[in-house]
Amino acid sequence: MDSSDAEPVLLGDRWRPGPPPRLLAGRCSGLAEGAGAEGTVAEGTVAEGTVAEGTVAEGTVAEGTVAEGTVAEGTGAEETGPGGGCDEVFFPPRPLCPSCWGPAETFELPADGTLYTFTTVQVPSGHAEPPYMIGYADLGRVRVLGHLVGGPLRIGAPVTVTAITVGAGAGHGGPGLVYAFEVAAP
Amino acid sequence: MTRPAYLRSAAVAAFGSFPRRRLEDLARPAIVAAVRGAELTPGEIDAVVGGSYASGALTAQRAIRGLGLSARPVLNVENACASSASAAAYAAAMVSGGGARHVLVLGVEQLSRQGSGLVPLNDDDPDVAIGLIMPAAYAMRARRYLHEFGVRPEQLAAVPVKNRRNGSRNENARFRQPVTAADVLGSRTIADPLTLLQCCAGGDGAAALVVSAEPGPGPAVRFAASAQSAGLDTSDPRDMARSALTASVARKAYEQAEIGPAELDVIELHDAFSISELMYTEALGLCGPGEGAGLLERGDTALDGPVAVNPSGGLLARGHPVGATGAAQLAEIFVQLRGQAGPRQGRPRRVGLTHTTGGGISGYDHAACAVHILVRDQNGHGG
Repeated sequence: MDSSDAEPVLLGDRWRPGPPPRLLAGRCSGLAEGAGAEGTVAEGTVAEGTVAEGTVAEGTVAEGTVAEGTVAEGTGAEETGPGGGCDEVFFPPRPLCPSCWGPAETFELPADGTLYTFTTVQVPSGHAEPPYMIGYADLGRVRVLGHLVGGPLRIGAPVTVTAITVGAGAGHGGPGLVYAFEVAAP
Repeated sequence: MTRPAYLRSAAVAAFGSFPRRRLEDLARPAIVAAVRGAELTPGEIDAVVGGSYASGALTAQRAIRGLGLSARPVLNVENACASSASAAAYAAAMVSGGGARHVLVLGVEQLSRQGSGLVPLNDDDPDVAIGLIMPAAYAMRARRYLHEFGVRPEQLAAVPVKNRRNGSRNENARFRQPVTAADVLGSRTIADPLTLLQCCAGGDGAAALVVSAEPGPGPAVRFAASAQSAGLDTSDPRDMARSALTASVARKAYEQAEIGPAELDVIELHDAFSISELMYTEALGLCGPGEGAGLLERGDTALDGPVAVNPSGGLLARGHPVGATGAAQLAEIFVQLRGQAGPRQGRPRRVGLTHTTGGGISGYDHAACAVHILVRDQNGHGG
């Protein structure tokens, strides 16, 4: 794994570099408090602790019980998820929960997952030199696209988050470090 | 109170690669043929709605130059592959709502000037930055589909074989040479399991429609439904072997038209890749998940089958000048329903559907999808 001297770091908002690299996802940390909720989160500041304690009721509900758009404004949080807000988990992290517009926080996705599907690209994309392998991996509750290394590639194979240097082309002006999924040998 | 909207006329200009032509020269033959076919004068066109993806700013205004169609509402719709299909939906709504009597829909695109054979995508999209290109996205769908349903690559290859055979009868198609399954599987790999002949080509082209409150000369073709939607933006694990967006937009269209998939006689659907046609025949409800290959093998979707799919040759043979495709699909259904499809007219057709979908952006399954259902009225005006 190439690492330290490569720059620029690509996709820096999606992962935490350093050994071992971990992908960051977002989750809701509190239901929107009426119309003023978006004012409580500044763009780009999704670190833990930006939400005042006590704005969210405790408790959890089963996955999938919070349908989009069903959360009424200012009703408090009888339905809360792992981050203390509604149950929404999203990738990449964003400052607002896409479901209830409550404040969001980041958390680390599991380092290990499963390969859902894959391909080897044989034509230049402008962002990677062929041939290159990409695929979707299931990490916890999200399905994430990334470069693949190792193999052989097969659906259902165990994968581990890693970092590689790709010779990025026109879009990035040079090589850079990106996250990738190491596909375990059978 | 809404009134019916009719597809009064339709015309397609030759699709291909024309980097030296000006945009207006690409568009003019289709516009002139459509307006003349409607037996209208340019002055009677109330509005122009253009659909294009990546041909520069103000594409519609540039394309109508020199034709006496300016100085009225002119709107540009950009919805990736579904650009002119979305434009047609908007035109039908304008006519139905009484805001216009005759609307010209123009799908036009000129991608040949952009160099690469790949459809241009946004650089700031995180998936694009990783190296996702449209063939790779569909290759990964295909991989999953083959895995889940036990379908073989030879069955994927049957899609371009059928569509290139249909396209050989279409004078406006870009690729008119029939191919065999061996040709398809032996062509170079783009992103496995997809080979070159399983991927549509971009290029240039134009198609024009007149959507009107009254049918024109000849059999009347009416919009029975026009449904469209953006895909769902979500991080939840997505089923890549099925198309949820196409299924939901089709469901809305069937409800609007009060017509079910079993009543369809002819379909133009978005076969950007071989896998696409199998997944979309399933999502449109012609058959169950994983059964698209069998449907094709039985000949049900052949030119003379009970429901011809892509009689024009589809994107695989006609070519896919992105924004022009939806209008070209509607134009094909128009001639099929009127019995004017010449050498690619199978049996008589009364009910047709177009399906246009696409747009590869992170978070969405597809950026936009549009489904129209057209019906030839038995006792329509002029019919």
